[in-house]
Amino acid sequence: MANVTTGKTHPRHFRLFLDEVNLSGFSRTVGSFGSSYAEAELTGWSSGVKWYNLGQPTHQLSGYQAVFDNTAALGSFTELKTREEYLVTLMIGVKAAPIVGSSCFCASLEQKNFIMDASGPILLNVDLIGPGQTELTLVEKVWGKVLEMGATSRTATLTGASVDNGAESTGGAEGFLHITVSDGGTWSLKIQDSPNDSDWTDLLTFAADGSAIAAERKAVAGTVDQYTRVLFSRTSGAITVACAIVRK
Amino acid sequence: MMANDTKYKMLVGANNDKKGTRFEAGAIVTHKDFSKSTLEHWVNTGRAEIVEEGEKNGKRNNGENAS
Repeated sequence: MANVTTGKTHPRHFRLFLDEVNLSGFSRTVGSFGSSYAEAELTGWSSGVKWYNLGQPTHQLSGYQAVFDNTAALGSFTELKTREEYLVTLMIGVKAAPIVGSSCFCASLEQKNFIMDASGPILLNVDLIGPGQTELTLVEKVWGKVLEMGATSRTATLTGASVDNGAESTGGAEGFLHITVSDGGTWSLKIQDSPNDSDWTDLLTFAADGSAIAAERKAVAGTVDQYTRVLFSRTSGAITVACAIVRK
Repeated sequence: MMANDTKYKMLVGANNDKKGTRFEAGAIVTHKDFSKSTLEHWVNTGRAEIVEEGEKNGKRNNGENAS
């Protein structure tokens, strides 16, 4: 069966990137992730039903469980033991590994809990909530589309497959980038958009140049055209990158 | 609709997949590089600006500006 982006699925097809680490190989379960809004009840005497207005949302990823691995730099314990704020991209593959156009959850989240469970296999239990003070501009939207899966080492310029949003949007966007492997080469990492899937302009250019593992969130204002894709231009080297876009 | 020989300056980099061409920010392009509708969309969305308005219209125009 051809790989698809729509339909029912199972968590085994999820992929999780925290900062510059691909935790998919260590992940066992994730409880819940998304946004929960504060509410203010505004019901009056003559209201037929309870009436609410919503306040700010809380973004969170909770009930996450990973197998312990203390490999330097890329192990689950190595990455998660330091309490900090993480750039998070959780890709939702449908019946198979994620592909370009798959849905994803993207947010900047502060680590709230980190508890090791040694009652059986050594596990890490983690809850993330956010954002922290370093990401004051984080926006409400957290649901985006995968542009590059972070599963393949790229050794040549990559013009990604396009993602059709159905129409342009006007509220800007945020790009999420996770460079999980780098051999020290030089790249220019961009997200492009197009009104017709043929003529493309650079929507945003990440500051990261592929010379080291890194994670970055880059915001852009204004119109985002109907189609989006990545353009990773290679000068030298090889990189493995996960990238997603969230339209505001 | 702008004239055929109107010149636009790209404010961001751009690719034309059909022609396999790439223009960096600052490049001067015309409707020979991209369609008029695309260029006008880019002007409207801040990706390009008109640097020289042309005078020549295409055959399908009414000749109002024809020399």
